[in-house]
Amino acid sequence: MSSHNEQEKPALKPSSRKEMSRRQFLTYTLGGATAFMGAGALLPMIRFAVDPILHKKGAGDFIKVAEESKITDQPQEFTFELKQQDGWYASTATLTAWIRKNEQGEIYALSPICKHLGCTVGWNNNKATPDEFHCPCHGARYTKAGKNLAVAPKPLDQYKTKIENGWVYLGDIVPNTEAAKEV
Amino acid sequence: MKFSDFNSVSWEENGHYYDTCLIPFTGLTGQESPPQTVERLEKLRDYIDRIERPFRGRIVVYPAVQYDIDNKEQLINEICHNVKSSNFRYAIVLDAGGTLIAQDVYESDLPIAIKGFFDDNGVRGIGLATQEIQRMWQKDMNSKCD
Repeated sequence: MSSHNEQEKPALKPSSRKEMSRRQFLTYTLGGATAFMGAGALLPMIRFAVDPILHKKGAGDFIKVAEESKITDQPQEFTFELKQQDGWYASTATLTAWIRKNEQGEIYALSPICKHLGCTVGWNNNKATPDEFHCPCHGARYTKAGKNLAVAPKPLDQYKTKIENGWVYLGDIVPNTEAAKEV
Repeated sequence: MKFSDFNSVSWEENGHYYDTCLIPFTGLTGQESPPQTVERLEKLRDYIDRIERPFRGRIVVYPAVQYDIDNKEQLINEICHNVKSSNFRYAIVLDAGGTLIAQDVYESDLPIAIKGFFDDNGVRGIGLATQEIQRMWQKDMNSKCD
């Protein structure tokens, strides 16, 4: 019986409520406020440090370069300006392209940067090797379509090309696909 | 290419292709104000870039001789002689000060005065300078063949 009575009586337990001490309260509130303010000051600095990474790359942009009607089967030199962002610095680069129409009437544009060591090639600029691109530095030679004939290890790169409303637009520099079409 | 674009490995690998050293002469007197000095240096940098760019795989731009001192020709001759006796075959002096007399810098294979290139004559001047550089290389090749 006594055990029954004991079961019915709720056991009196000492209060388990935890009270925060004044020291803890101050630590939490002041610490939290300091962390919040610190984060507020640090985040813009971190954001600035990684700023170029947060920006979308401007790849795929095309620039209007030449009138389609002026392109012939002979390579012609065109210069154009490209606005570029190098880290935090914005600058304008002047680029050159050699543009021509191939036998199928397709327009393509070659980069003039020699694939040997980066000099600038010219079209038909060496009397000894007519109708070729020639590099003045170490004598690299390329065909009309940019196929490497001597010295350089690879064909000249070409620009992505787009024709719109009678104008030739040039985009990124990509590996040469034109040389393979050459007979 | 600038001298600072090379390290010992890349120079070891490709250095023999870079046979031409370009030494800029700024021609400052010390009387220029800081903004004037900046302007001079920036113009010179732009012209170096445009002259050197077509020949990036053959020309190395060395640090400039900055001040227009009394014995500048002697100093420049000595530098030209030294670069040619160590790493380079040709030495070009790019004169932005406009005070060098070509005959006096006899150790240079090609002195180029760019003072007259500024403003409207820039494009023409750059074109002539790049032609002169090619002519210098060509002349040497022809004389070897003769």
